[in-house]
Amino acid sequence: MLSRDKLNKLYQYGIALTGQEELAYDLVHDAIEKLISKTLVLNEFAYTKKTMRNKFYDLQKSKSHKTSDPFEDNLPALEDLDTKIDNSSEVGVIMDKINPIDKEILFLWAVEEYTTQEISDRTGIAKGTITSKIKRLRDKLQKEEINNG
Amino acid sequence: MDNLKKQLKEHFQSKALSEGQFQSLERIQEQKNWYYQFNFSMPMAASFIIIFIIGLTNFIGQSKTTLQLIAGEVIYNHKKNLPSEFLVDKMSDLNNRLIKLDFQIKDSPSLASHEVIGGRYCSIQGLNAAQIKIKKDKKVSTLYQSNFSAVDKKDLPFELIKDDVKVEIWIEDKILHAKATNIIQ
Repeated sequence: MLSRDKLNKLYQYGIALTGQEELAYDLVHDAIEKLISKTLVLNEFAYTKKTMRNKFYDLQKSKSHKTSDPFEDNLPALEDLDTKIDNSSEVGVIMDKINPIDKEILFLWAVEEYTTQEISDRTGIAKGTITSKIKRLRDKLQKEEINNG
Repeated sequence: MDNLKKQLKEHFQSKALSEGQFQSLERIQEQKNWYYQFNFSMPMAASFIIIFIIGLTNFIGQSKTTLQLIAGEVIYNHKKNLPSEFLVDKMSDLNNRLIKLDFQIKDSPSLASHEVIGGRYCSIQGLNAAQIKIKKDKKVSTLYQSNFSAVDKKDLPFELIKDDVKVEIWIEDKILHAKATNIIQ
């Protein structure tokens, strides 16, 4: 049985993916329902997390087939932050405005404390791209802090 | 700590499930125990059924095999054609001679037309038996009687022809009878 601490971590991961608390809870809920249908799962936490990720990206894919939008609301990638977000050094605000893949990368890097190599292995995104995304966000925040300061 | 990392961490870690959401997720997980029991008990029950069926099949098969074994043993003994130890012409006389048997030799009505030549001790499936030479129309047969009972009665009467010998097995008055006759005399 997953502890409350683990459940919270899954929920936070769900928020990183979806950007919405309600959708994050639904993802955790569905993933746990799938987990209990399995006879034997060696690492329940990792399995649930993987299920959440697969389900989320499946939903995104089916949504993109229907709407022709690759991801909801055409959210920008970290690379486009400078042009899309003005005068904000608030991480939360930035997180609400970037696409799910970048949010997941930042979550894995900051909260799960994965190395860029581990994130690359997990997401299939090139290590250099991940490093670049993190650097851009860091630069953006520093720039905003100087401007505000 | 890296400022960006710290801010991101704080941002995500400020999010937490409500008590109601925790309870709901915990309730779902509690069902897993039931799933475990179901998922493990179903294959186990299926295994027991399969083992039972295999056992039953073997048991039934074993009865048939036992009859075949008896028939094979009878054919082997019949072909050896050992001389009778006691030359008598009545079953009752043979009964008086074969005193070590733990049963009484039966004078089967179905063999009333046969003439008794003699008999000797023998064994069927490890149990004491009587080997009796009988004759009808100049055709000599070997009759075996034993109180061997570990055969499936529904497979009786049993008949087998092998190596030019016809074997008939039946039970009469709780005594197993096996008669071996050469097809070609």
